[in-house]
Amino acid sequence: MIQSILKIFKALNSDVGPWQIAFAAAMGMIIGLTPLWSVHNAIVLLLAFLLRVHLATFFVFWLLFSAIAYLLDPWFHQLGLSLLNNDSLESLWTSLYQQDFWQVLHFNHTITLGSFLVAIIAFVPFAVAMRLSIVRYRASLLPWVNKMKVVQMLKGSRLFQLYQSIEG
Amino acid sequence: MKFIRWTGLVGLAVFTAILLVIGFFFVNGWAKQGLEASGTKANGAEVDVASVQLSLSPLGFKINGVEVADSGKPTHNAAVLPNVQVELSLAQLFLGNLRIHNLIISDVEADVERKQVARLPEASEEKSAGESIASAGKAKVDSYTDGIAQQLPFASSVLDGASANTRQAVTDAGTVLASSKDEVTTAISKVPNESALADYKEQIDALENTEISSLDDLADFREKLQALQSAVSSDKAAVAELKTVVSDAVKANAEALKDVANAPGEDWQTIVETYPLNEQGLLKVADLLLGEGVWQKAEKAIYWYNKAKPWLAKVRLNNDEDEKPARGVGQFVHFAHPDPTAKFQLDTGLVSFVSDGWPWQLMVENIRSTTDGAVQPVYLKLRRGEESNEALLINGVLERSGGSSVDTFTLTGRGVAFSSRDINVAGAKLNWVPEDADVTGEIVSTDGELEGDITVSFPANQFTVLGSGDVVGYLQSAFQSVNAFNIDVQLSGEVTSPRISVSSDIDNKLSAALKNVAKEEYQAWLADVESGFNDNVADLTASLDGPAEEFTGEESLANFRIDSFEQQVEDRIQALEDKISAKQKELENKAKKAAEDKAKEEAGKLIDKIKF
Repeated sequence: MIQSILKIFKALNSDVGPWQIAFAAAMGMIIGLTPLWSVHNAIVLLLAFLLRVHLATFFVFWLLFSAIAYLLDPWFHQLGLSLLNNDSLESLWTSLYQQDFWQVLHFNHTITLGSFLVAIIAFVPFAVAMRLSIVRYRASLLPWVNKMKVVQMLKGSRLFQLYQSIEG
Repeated sequence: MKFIRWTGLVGLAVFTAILLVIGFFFVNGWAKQGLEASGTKANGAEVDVASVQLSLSPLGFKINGVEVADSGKPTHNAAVLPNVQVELSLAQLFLGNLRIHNLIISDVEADVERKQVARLPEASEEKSAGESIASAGKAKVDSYTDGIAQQLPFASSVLDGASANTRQAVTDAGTVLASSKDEVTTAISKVPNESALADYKEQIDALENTEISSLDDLADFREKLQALQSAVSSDKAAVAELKTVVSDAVKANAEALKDVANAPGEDWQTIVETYPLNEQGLLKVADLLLGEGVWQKAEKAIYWYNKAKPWLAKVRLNNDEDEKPARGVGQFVHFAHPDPTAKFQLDTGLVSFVSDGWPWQLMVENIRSTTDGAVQPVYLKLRRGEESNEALLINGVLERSGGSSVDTFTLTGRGVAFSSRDINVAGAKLNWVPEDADVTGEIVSTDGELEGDITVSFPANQFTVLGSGDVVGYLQSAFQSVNAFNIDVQLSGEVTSPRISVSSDIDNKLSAALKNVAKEEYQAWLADVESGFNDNVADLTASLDGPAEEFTGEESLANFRIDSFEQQVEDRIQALEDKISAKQKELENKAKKAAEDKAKEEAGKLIDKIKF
C-alpha cells in the first residue's frame, strides 16, 4: 500500500500524463463507490487494465472511495430507492426489468443504482478536476516543494532512496 | 493506439485462454464430482455419475449414467438415469438464480441391482421419512394379507383354538366337583357311623324295654333318656352341618355344570362371528383380485411423493430479498414482469421410463420459488403409453399458498392391463384373467390430509378355479356368472400413514349367483365345523363324568347317613319322649283317681261317724 502511495507521488512528480492519473482516479472512484460484485465493475476493472491509466492511482482511489462509500451507502440507498419508486420513471424501470441484461447489471438494486449514478455523474468533472489539479501542482507547487529544506533532508534519507527505486 | 496497454491486453488474452483450457479439461470433472457429492448428501446414499458434458450453446449439461443408490437397500439403486439433459439460462445464473428451461431424464429404471454395494454417507439412527413410510406400508400390506387369509380357513384349523370357553368351563367344573366331594367326605366323617348307630340302637332298645309302673320308674326313665339325648345332640349338629355342606355342594356343582352347558354356545358364537358370511367377507375377494402389487405400487408412489415434498417446500418460500436490508446492503425493487424468474425455476421437466412393459412419462411444469408470495401452482402429468393414446394419465396440480398446501391428482385410464394372477382363496387356487380395466379417480392432499376415491372398472373377466379345496365349486359357480364389476379404493388419513379401504360392487354383481352358493358352502363349512366342535365338546365334558359320579356317590352316602341317623336315633328318641309323656299322664291320672277314691272313702267314713 505504501508502495502504491509512493508510486502516486512519483507519478505526480514525473512526466506521467495527467489524464492517465485523472482517469485512473475516476475509475477507482466508480469501482469504489459502487458495490464491488457488480457486472459494471468487471468492465471498469477490465478497462483499467487495458487502457494506459495509472494503476497505482486506480487502486489507491478504489480503496479511498470504498471507505467513503461505506459512509455514503445509506444516502445511496435512499437515492436509489426514491428513483426506483418514482412514478414518472416506473415505465422506464419496468421496460428495463423485462430484459435479463439490465437485471444482470442490478439496476434495480437501490445502492447500485444510487452509487452508480453519482459516480457516473461525477466521473468527468472529477477526472477534469484531477487533471487540472495535477497540472497546477506540477507548475507551481512542485518547484516550491523541492526547494523546502525538509524536502532536501528527505531526499537524503533512506525513504527517498526507496522512493527512487520505485518505477513510476 | 498509445492509450492501449498492450501488456494488459496480452494478460487478458492469456487469462481467457487459461479459463478456456480449464473449462475444456476440468469443468466436466468438477461438475461430476460436485453432482456426486451433493447428490449423495441429499439422497443419503451413494450417487454415481458416469460423465458430465458441458455445452455452451444452449448453456447446459448432458449427464450420463446417474445411479442413485437406495439408502434402505444399498445393494440396489433406487433409480438409474442413463441420460439427463439440463438446459440452463446463463443470464439468470449471473443473477444468482437457477433457471432450468428444460430437464429431460430418459429411460429411468428403478430398483436395479448394483454391481457394488453402495456407500452410505454416515449411519443415521433415524430412518428417513420415506423409509418409515415404506416400512409402514409393508406392515400394512402384511396385516392386510393376514386379514384376508383369515377368511374361511379349513375347519380343523378353526377348531384348534375355538373351544377356549368350553375348555375353561370344564376345567372349572372339574375343580368344583372335586372340591365338593372332599367337603362332603369331610362332613360325612363327622356324623355317626354304623357302630355308633348300633350303640344308640342298643341304648334305645333298652329304654324301650324298660317297665314303668310308677312315678319313680318314670323319673328314672326320664333321667336315662336325657342322658341319651345329651349324647346325641353333638351328632345331630354334625348331621345338620352335613346337610348344609351337601346342599351347598349341589348348588355349586349345578352352577359349574351350567357354565359347561353354556360355554360351547359361546364358543360357537365366536366362530360364527369370526368367520361370518357378510358383505365384508365377500369384499375380501375383491381385495384379493387387486393383488399385492397394487399396494406395493401405491406404497412406492407415496414414497416418492414424500421424497419430493421437502424440495417443493424449499422452493416455496424465497422472501429474503423482501426483508428490510441491513445497513449498506441495499434492496432490490421488483417490477411487473410477465414471467418473473425465481431463485429456482424449472420450466419443463420430462422423465421417461419403462414399467410393466409400458412406456411411462412424467412431465412437470413451472416448479419455482417465489419472490413476492404469489405462488404459482406446479403442474405435473404422469402418462402411461404414448401421447394422445395413453392408457393411464395422472394430472397433478401442486399448490402452495399462505402456508398451506393442496395437491390434487386426477386419474384417467382406459385399457389398463392387469396381468392374470393366481390367488389362493381358502385353499382353492383362483386364476383370474381380467380384460383391460378403466380407471378414474381424484386424490387431494390438503396439508398432508388425504382424501381420494379411485374406481377401477373391470368390464370383462374370466375366472378359473383350480385345485381341490373346499370352496372350489363355490367359487367356480359364482365367478362364472361375473362379467363386469368395479373396485373402489378410498384414501383417507395422513399422507405419511394413509388409510386405504376397498369396496366393490362385485358382491352386487355376484349376489344373485354367489350368495346362495356361498350360503350353501358356508352352511356346509359351518356344519363341518359344528360336527367337529360337538365332538370336541363331548370329549371335553367326558372328563367330568368321573368326578360327577364320585360326588354323586358321596352325596348318596351322606343322605344315607342322615336318613339312618334320623330314623334310627332321632325318630326313636322322639318316640320314647312321646311314650314317657303318655306314661306320665297315665300315672298321673291313676294317682289322681286313687286320691279321689281315697278321699271319697274318707269322706264316707266321716259321714258315718257323724251319723252315729
